[in-house]
Amino acid sequence: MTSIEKVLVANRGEIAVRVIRACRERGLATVAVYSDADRWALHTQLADEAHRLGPAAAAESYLRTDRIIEIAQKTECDAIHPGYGFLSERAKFADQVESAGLVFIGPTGESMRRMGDKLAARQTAKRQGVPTVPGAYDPIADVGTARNAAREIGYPLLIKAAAGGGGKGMRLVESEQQLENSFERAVSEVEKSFGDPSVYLERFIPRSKHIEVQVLADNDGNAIHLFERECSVQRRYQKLIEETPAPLLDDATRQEMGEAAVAVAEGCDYRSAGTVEFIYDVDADQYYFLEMNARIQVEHPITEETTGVDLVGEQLEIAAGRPLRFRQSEVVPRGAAIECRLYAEDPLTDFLPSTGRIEELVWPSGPGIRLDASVARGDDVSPYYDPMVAKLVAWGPDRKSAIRRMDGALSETLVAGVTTTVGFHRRALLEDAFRDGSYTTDFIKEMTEAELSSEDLQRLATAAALERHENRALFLDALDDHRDQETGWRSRP
Amino acid sequence: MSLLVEIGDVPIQIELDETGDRMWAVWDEDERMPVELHRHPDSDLYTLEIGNRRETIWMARREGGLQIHWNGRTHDVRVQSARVHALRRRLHEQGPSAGSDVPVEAVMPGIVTRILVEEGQTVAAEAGLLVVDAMKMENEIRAPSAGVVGEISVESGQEVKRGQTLCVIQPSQSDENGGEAHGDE
Repeated sequence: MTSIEKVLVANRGEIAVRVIRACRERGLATVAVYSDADRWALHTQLADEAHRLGPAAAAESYLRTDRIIEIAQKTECDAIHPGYGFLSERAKFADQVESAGLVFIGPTGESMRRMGDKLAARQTAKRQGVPTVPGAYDPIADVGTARNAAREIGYPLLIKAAAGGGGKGMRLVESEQQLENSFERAVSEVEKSFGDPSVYLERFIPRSKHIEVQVLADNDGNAIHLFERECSVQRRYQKLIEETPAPLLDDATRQEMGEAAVAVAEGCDYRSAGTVEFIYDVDADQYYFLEMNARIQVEHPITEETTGVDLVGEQLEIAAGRPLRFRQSEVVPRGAAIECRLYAEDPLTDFLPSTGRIEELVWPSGPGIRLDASVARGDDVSPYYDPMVAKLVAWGPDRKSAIRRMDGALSETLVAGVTTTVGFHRRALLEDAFRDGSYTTDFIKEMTEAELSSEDLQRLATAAALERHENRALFLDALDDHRDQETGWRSRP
Repeated sequence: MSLLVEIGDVPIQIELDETGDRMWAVWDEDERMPVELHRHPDSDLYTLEIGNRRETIWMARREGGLQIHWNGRTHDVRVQSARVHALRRRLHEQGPSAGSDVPVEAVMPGIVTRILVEEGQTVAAEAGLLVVDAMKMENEIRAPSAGVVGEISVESGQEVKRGQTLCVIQPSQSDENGGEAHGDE
């Protein structure tokens, strides 16, 4: 057993806050790090100590592995929690942390490498008897090989980067005529983005759901799953709504996918919390392994709400060398949970970030409502980092009540000064495809256009008109209103 | 009070009518609702009541107008009196050149009861041109700018619709109404 008494949190935003809270509950001291843009951010206030990393740009702050390790050593930390994003899946960083004599709260660098290379991950899954999307298991070196492989796989297909993942480095090819051109472009693009030109081919699945399984594994090779999350509400491979359980999944398949996820985790000697992602082919009713995310995920709270397991807390326990504290049979999910990610983005402009100052904040509360946020009134939504302002989670004894609670919570939420996805979420929850659970990853594309209804316009116009009326002394042309009302119109004699 | 509210680039016409001790919003002739705005102390949060429905919104005065946040979106909103807006639009469409006709329109449906000027008469800005009666009230229609009265297209006793042209004004060279147009927020 390793003794962990002090943890450096190498992240920012809500996940840094989440980790600090988990440490605090266990009596562990915490060290926050921050960029100049986050000097007074919530995570710096909640931690026991806060240390500056550098300027706002991530490359000069949250990605400075040397500074982070140096601060951890100087402040006598025992461990580093990387959160998600930034350094969380950099195998080299995990190695550096460990060789500096610190505990990396997450998987080993070696496991990350095995899952980070998407082809190696496919091979691992296949070896473990887990279904993978039909396609290649080795890099494809030239167009000729690609053409032969493609004939077996069938069109349409995807050219994928071995070093990619999360939707990066992918190209859709609809026919053999397109293949040559696409292949060459894909290779040069992939080399530029990842420094590794290896690509492979995979069958494209037109109507699919994104379903992932949460796993926990200890240092002794014990692994369990904590059931699935459905994350099909996405745009540009960015998730917006996640829920558990996956609404249309039958129990037998749920069981099978859970076991498949554990097999993948075991296949790469995984430890800590991780997520095995599957693509679910709706037409063929078949799931396939997609990739494994070797970190705590944004959407982990919904699993915490239904299973009652504190996933970040368990990461800390595992990092301290403790064996898993419960068996598979003891994980019994209860009810349903939904997460809506509130992004400072405008759904009407194809989710372009909406930067600005948060002028006012009103957060929801009530039974079954959980909010993981790190922004405060007066904060700027900075263009440097992910524009997520909060994660809103609703739990209910069943899916219907969770949706109702979520809708109520969204109606109470007010993040003024920027445009957020709050309105999008409210509309999404009303869509038939969401209500009946049949939605696929095309859900957002297929959603009805979000235009202001005439009732919305009237509401806004009334507010503006009344505001002007209250402040009529401020306007020169209000003299004109006044005349309309009092001088121009008068009782007929 | 007749106002033109622009939400982004969508224009909405609204009338506020203080009758009794209540404020009413009138969107068109049939749609009329009691409305009230309550500002939360020391904040830019408001409770907006329309009919029996209440909602919390955020609203702040910004250069060039208002920002209103409701249901996840922050909107840029401009409010101006309908008269000033009509005038501006004409100036915009026709250019500020003197001599081009500016139509004077009825802001509400009613009956023309008196015509106070003659064609060719020089008038100052804000001079009374005609009187239109509606719902037991009379409304003096005034010149949007200084100029010469052009064609008068209605006669006394005639019923007019909202937006109908009553007469035209050919603005004079030294446009005195600049102050009014610029006085808008």
